[in-house]
Amino acid sequence: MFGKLVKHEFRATGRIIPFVFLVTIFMSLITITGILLNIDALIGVSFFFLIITLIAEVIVTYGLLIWRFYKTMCGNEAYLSFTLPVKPRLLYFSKMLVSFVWVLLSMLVLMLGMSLIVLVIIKGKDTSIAGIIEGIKVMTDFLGFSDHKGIAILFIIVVTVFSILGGLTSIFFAVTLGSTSRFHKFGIGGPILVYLVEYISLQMIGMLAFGLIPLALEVTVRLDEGLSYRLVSRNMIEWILEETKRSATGAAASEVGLIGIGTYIVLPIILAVLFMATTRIVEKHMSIR
Amino acid sequence: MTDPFDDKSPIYLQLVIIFKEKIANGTWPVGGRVDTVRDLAVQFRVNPNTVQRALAELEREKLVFSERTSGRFITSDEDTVRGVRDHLANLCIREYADRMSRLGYGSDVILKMTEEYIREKRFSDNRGVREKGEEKHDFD
Amino acid sequence: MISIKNLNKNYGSTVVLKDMNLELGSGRIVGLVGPNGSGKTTLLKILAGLTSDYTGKVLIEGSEPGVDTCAIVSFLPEKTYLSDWMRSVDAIDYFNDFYADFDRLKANEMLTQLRLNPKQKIKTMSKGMQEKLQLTLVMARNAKVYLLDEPIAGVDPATRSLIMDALLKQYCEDSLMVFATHLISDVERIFDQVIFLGFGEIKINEEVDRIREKYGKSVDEVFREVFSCLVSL
Repeated sequence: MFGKLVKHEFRATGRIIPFVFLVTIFMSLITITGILLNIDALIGVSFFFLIITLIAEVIVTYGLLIWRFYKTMCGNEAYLSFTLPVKPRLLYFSKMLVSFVWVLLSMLVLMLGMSLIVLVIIKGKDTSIAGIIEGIKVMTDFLGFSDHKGIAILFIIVVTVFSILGGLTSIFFAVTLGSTSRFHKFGIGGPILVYLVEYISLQMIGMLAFGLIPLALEVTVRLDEGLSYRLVSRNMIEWILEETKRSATGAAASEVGLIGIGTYIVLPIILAVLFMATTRIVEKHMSIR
Repeated sequence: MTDPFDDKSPIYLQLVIIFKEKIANGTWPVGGRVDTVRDLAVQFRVNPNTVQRALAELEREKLVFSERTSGRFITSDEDTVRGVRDHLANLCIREYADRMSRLGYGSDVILKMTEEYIREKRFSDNRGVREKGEEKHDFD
Repeated sequence: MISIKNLNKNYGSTVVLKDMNLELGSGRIVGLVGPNGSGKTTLLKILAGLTSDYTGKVLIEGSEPGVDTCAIVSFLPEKTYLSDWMRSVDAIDYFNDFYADFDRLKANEMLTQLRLNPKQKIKTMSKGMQEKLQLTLVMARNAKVYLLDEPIAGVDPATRSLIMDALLKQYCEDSLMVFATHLISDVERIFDQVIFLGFGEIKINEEVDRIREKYGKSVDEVFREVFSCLVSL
């Protein structure tokens, strides 16, 4: 049954979203043509539209996914979704999976477009593509990523996956909770209100966790060797106060920096809780208006 | 189709009368097969169980019989059919006579008026047989 | 088939269903009638498995409303619950995929009977056409229980007749159909039994022919009398 849900979810969302990507890719192709043929006027115009479609592409993808989620989990179509012979949580999971795939694709399209923008910007300057790649290499060497390519790539993938899932989790939570009976008086504003409150709370919790949780990455900067990292059990606020005191005495800036990573422990936990809360609301059919 | 029912009394009893009329006047021929319950329910736009109940009543009165595999059939016994027709006719006459006497007419007058009515050909039988060329004045 | 014991349901402080007890057997068409706000829709939503915050015991073929009962209960809500981009054929595919008891042939037959174009998008359909399509989907299932919420409310009399014919043709004889409506006179002849619901309580639960016998009136007239009393109280 989960497979069927996913299939129909793709069928419903796949009517529009790929066309949004196609428009973006089309604009990219025009820009590439301009670069290859060196037509400045074409580059100028297509560059402008490329930026707009890139922004629009991500917004439209999210918008369509959220609207579909709202209609089928909270609006009239929920009457059908919730009378299918499937566990309600499977409805939620299938939408999460399908939305994840679309958002990931939209991110890839976005990256493609962004790299084109970079190309347009460096065009005419005395940097070549090879120069850029060289620059990136120097940068990653300095940051100490080159020795651990595998870990770095894995890290990027994990961060991307979690940030997409986290974003969708917080949005879907807001839509579901904002549609329960106690928010009915706000109408369609319910989910928006919940999202705003949720967003601000998450930001604040993130900041507090960043500053107060005694877990940080200690970065040692040596210009000749690049950066080296060490996990330490210190909190940021304490460190900042120390540093401020030190610089007040006129001492030279320390070559050791501290980045709090408490946020990256607290936020996933909170998002997991929100995920479970959404599952619970959905299972109890409380989101149906 | 004009509405054959009056919602003020049980539908199944009205169905029994309607079915009997159909058997009596040969719309449902002697020995013929009765439509299925579902078909009759659709035809008359009534509940299938109501049709079932009416047919059961006809079965009890030996007007129809079921054969386990092939469905329901009208009785082949002409006498039974004639009996139903006479019975329905009697019901009509009784109702007519009752209404006339409620209006205050005595038996002699009722008989005389009825005879006159029929003689003056204002009456047409249910097949609408009349002199040729003359228009029908019934509204149904 | 359906067994309801001490069912209570509130929306906040408003009581919608008050200590309801009801047993419904198979092979019957049951009219669920009552003025607006009497709890008809709420009762159907509970039976369909859409509303779960009630107290009391509700059993359908021995199970509480949930995944198991959704597989045997076919629910027609008042709302349009299909995505508007779908055509009739898409909606049929959807139902066919999810409901094991869905009969595609029956669905196509009913589409023709109700004069619907399988390729037409729901977006471009009138309200009446959408209702007919939903009814088609709901009735094309060989379900054990059909729950129809006001299936004839939004359509003209000619369409109403078409729908009644389709209902009688497609209805499975050993299933239970609960038909909620406030337009009683149009449909009372297809009921076996009728339940009068007023302010969340069952006022009358009786065979329709028994009601006609007892009161010498049509179910519609009895309904008007019962509820004009209630309203004036």
